[in-house]
Amino acid sequence: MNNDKQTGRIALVIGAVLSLFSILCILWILRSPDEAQSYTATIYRDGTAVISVCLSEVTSPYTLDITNKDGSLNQIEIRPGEIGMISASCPDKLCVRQGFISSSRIPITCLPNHVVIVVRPTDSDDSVITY
Amino acid sequence: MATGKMSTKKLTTLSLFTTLSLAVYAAESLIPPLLPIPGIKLGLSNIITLVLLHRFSAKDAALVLTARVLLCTLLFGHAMSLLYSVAGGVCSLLAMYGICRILRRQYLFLAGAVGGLIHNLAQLSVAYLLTATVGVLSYAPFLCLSGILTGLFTGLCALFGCRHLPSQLSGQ
Repeated sequence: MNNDKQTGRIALVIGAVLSLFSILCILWILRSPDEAQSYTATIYRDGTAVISVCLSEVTSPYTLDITNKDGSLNQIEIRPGEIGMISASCPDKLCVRQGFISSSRIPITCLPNHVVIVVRPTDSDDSVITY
Repeated sequence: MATGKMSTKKLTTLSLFTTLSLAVYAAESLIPPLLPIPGIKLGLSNIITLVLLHRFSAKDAALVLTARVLLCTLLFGHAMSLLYSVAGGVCSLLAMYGICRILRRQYLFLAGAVGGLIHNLAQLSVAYLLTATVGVLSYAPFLCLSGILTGLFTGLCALFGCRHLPSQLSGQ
C-alpha cells in the first residue's frame, strides 16, 4: 500500500513537471517576437514548399488557391504583413478559424488537406522558392 | 466472435459499453472546439475505456475500443480519421494498461492523465508523418497540456463512475 502511494506521488510529480514545462513552452511560443525587418510565409503541401511570399513586400491583398490531387481546396489570402486561410474543403475548418498570422511561431495547419503555412523572419530563409 | 467462450452476459455487457462509448463520442462531436488547434478535445469516450480497464480486463477494453473506433469511422469520420483514431487509441490503451498494472488499479485519474497525454502525442506524431512538415510539432506543448488536463478529468469521471457501478457488473 505504501509503495502504491509512493508510485502515485511520483506520477503526480512527473505530471506536474510536465504540465509546468508545457506551460512554459506555450508562453515562450506566444511571447511577442523580436521585431524583425520582414517576414516570409512559406506554404507547404504534403511536406514540400509550394510557394514563399515575403509578407512585407505585399502591397495589396490577393488570394491563392492550393489544390490537391484528391480535389481538396484551400484558399489562402495574403495581405500586407499577414497571411491566413479564408476557406477550405476540410470538414472541421479549424484552419480557417486560426485566423491571420503575421509573425507567430505557430503555423496555420489544415491537417486533412496536408497544408501548412509557416511564417519566419526573412533572414533565416536560405532560399526563396516560388513558382 | 463465433468461437467465443464468452458468456452471453459478458457479450451483452460489452456491447452495451460499446454503444455507450459511441453515444458519448457522438455527443462530444457536437461540442464546438474550444481552441482552433487540431486535436484538442475532451475525449470523453476514454471514460468507458478506463472503467473497463478497472473493472474488466485489458482485452475487454481493447475489444470495445476496436469496435468503437471502427464504428465511429464508418458513421462519422473519413478514411484519414481512422489512422488518427487507431494510433491514438492503441497507444493510449497500452499506456493506461501499464499505469493500471503499476498502480494496481488505484489512482485511476493518473492512468487517465497519462492516457490523454499519450493519445495526443500519438496523434501529433501521425500528423507529423502525414504532413512531413516540422511546423506541426510546435503544437506539442498545447497538446501535452490539454492531454494531461482532459485525461485527468476523464480519469476522475471514470473513478466516480466505477464507484457507482453495480458490483455484479464485473468481468468473468
